[in-house]
Amino acid sequence: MNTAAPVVIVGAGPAGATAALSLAEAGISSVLLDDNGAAGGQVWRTGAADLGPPLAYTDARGDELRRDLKRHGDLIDHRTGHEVVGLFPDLRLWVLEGGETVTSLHPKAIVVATGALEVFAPVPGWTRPGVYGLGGLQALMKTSRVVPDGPVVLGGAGPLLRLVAAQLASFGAEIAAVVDAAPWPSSGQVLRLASQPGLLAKGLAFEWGLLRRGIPVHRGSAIVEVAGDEEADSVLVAPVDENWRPVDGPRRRLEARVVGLGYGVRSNVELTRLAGCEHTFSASRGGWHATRNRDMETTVENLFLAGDGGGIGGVEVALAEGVIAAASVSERLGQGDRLKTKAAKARGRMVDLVRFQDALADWSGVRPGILAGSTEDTIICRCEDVTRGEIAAAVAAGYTDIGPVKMNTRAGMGLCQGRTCTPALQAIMASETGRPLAEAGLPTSRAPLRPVPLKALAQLPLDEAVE
Amino acid sequence: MKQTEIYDSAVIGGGVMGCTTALHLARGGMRVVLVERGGLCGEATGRCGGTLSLMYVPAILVPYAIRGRELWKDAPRWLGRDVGFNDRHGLDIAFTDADGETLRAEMELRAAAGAPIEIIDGNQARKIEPALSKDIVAAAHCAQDGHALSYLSGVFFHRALARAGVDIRVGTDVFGVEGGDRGFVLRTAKQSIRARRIVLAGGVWMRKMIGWFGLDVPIIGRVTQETISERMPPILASGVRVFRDISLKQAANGTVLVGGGRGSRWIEDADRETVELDPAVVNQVMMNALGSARRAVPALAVARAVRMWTGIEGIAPDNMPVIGPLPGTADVFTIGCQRSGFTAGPFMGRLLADALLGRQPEMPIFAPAFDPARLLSMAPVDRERGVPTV
Repeated sequence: MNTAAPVVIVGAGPAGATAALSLAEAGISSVLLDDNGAAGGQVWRTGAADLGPPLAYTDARGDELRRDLKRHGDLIDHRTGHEVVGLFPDLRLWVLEGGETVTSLHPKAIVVATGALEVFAPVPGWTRPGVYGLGGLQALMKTSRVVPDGPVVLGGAGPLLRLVAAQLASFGAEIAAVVDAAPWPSSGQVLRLASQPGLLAKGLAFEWGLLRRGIPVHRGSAIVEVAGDEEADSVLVAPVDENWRPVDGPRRRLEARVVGLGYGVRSNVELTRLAGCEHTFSASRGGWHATRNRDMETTVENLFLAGDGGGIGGVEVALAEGVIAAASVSERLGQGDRLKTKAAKARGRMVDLVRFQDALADWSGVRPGILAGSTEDTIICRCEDVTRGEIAAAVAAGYTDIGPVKMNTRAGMGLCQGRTCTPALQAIMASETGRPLAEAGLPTSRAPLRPVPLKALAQLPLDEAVE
Repeated sequence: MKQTEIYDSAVIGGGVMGCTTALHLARGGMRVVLVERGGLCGEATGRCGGTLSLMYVPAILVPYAIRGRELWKDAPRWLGRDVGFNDRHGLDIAFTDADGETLRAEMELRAAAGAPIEIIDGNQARKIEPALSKDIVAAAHCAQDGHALSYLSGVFFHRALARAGVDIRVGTDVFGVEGGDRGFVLRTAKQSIRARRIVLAGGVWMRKMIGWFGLDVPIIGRVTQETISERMPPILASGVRVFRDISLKQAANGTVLVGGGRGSRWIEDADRETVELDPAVVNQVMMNALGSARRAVPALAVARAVRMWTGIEGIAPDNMPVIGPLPGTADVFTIGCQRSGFTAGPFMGRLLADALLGRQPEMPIFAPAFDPARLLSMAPVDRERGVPTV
C-alpha cells in the first residue's frame, strides 16, 4: 500500500479518477478513496462482470477509466470500500473501511470529487414502499440488472428522468408514464442546447427511446400524490405552472406499483462544509456548492474540488475539472507544470460546457414551486418524522435560518443527517418566508458523516505517514 | 405592536437562564421581550448533554441544583410539557486511589451542602450499574441524578413563552445598548427595541454584553464536546461520570451520549464567526473521551458514533455564576455562566424574576458569591490550573 502519497482524492467518479490519472501522468502518486466497489461514480457505475447484456445508453468510457486506473496502479492507490467520514480544515481525513476501522490521513493536498445527490420533492405518500429515487432505480439496474415488476411511473425533471425511463424500458420494464415538470424546451433553449450537439443528440436519443415504445410523457405535470393501502398502487398527476406549482386542470390517476421520483441533482457538500469551505448558491448549478477559484481550489488552502460537488455541470465538465484540479495540485506541490497544456485545453472546453449546463438548468432546473405538491401532513424528514406543517410552524415562530429550524423541528437531524430532506427543508423555508431559496441557508455538517464504531474512533491511530 | 412600545424588561439571550427569567417576568405581569441572535436554546443549553446532577456543582450551589432538578421533573406543571425528564441514579467513578481520594474530598463538601451523595467502592458501584468496568476503585453515588432532553428545551420554552405573552425575537442580533435612566434602546439589525430594564443572559457572550456598559470582566469560554451513538439495547441504567473526565448516559430511545474529554480548551472570544476550533484538538479530545467511555463501560465497544458536536460554556475564574445587578448602570442585571447551569437554570431564572418583580425569592439570588461586581477585580482564569471545581 502506498502510504507516502502526498495527495488524497475523494471519490473515484469521472472527476476524481481523471484527477488521479492526470497526476499519474505527471508522475505524482495519489490515494484514491471511494466507498464503492469499483470506480466510475454514479454516472459510470458498474456491477459484476457477468451481468449479461449491457445497459442501454451506457458510456464505454467507464470501462476505459477502470482499465486506466488499473494500468497506473503503481502511482494510484485506489482503495475501494473506503468512505471518508471526516474532513477537517487542517486537511486531516477520517477514512472508514468496511464500516469497521477508521484511519486518519493527513496529506499535503486533497481533491474532493464526491459528486451530486438527488433532489427529492416530498408529496403525500412518498414514503410508501415502492417509491424510489430515480438514481436508486438506476443504480439497481447498473449493479445487478434489477428491473421493477408491474407498472412504473417516473416523475421529476431533467435528463436523468428520461434516461432512466429509456433504460428501464429497454430491459422490459412496463413504463406506464413519464411525468415531467418541465414543458417542452423553448426554441431558444433548444438553440442553446444545440451548442453541444453531442450532448443534445444524447438527450434526443433518450426521448426517441420513449417515443418508439409509445411511452406517454406528461410534460408540465407533476406527481402530487402516491396512493395505496400500504405499498404504492397509483399516483395522482396534476398539471403545473412554469414554477412547478400545481394548477387547475385535469388530474389523472395512473396505476403504479413502482414510482421513481427525482428533480435533478445538487452538489454533495457534506465534506466541503465539514472542512469549513465557503459556499455559494447558484441556481443554474444546482444550488449550494463550495466556492472555488479557477484552479479548482476552495477557500481552504490546498483543498481542491472537481466535478458536480462544485456545482452541477455533468460528466463532461467533471472530466475537464479533474484535469484542471490535477494541474493545480501538481504546481502546488512544486512538481512542475507538465499538465499545463492539458489544463488549458480543459479550460477551453469548460466555457461551452458551462453554457450548455446553463441552458439545461434554464429548461429543467429546480423551480420555487418544487414543494407545492406537499401538504401540511406530508412527512419531509423521514428519519425524524417531521411534517411540512411543523417546519412551517417553526418558520412562523421566527426561525428563518436552517440551523435553528433543524434544531427546533429535528428535521435533518436523523440518521441520514439531512441527505434526503435538506433541499425540501430549504424550499419550504423559502416558500414560508417569501425569501429567495438561497436565504434559507445551508446546514452544518458534522463528523462522522456515517455511523462509525466508537471503538474505531477511540483507537484512531496516529496519522498514516505521509511525506 | 408599535415600534415605540417600551417593554418593562428586555432579556438578551435565549438559553435556559434567559428563557426562564423572561417566562416568570411575563407571568408576573411584566411586558417582556426576549431577544436571541440564533434560536432559543441553540447554544450551550441545547448543545449540552442535559445532565441533571448535584455532583458537578460547587457546594454552595447544591441547594439551587436540587431545586432546579425538581423543576425539570415538574416541567409539565410550569412549562406545560415534559422535557424528557429521566430520573436516574448518578455515579462518579475513579480508576485510581488518588482520584478516589480527591473524589471523596469533593463529594463530602457537596454532601455537607445537602446532596444525598455517598462514597462507595467499585463492587458497590457495579451493583448499582452492572455495565461498569471491573477496574473502578471508588465511586460517588447520588440517588438524585438523571437527564432531560436539552435539545428539545428550545421548542418547549418557545411555546410557553408565547403563551405567557413574551415577545420572542429570535434571529435578532443585538449590537449594543444605549441610554440609561429613562429606559434603554437595544440596537439590532432589525428594528430597535426599547425597554426600562435589561437582563443580560448571554452565557459565554456575557463578557461582550457587559462590555456594552463599559465594563470588562474575565469571563472566558470552555469548549465541551459531545458524541452521540446509534440507538442501542439498554446498557446504562444510571448517569455515569468518570471523575474529571467524561459523562455517559443512555437516553430512553437507546442513544448513548458521551460528553467531555481530557484536553478541552479555553477560548477567549466565543463568537462562532471568529472561532476556529482547532480540529486536531477537537479530534484528540473526542478520542480521549471515547477511550474513557470504553474503559468505563466495556460494552460500549460495539456502539457506533453517529455525530459529534461542540458547545461553549461561559465560565468565571471562581467558577461561580454571574447573577445580580450590573455595577455602574441601574436596571441592568446579569444571569448565567453557571457550572452545570442546565440543572439549576430554571430555578435561577425564577429567582431572578422574583427579585425583579419585588417578590421575596425562595433562596438568595443577589448573593455576594454571584455578584457580577466581584469580577471587576478578579484575575483571569489560570489556564493551567483551571477553575475551582467545588
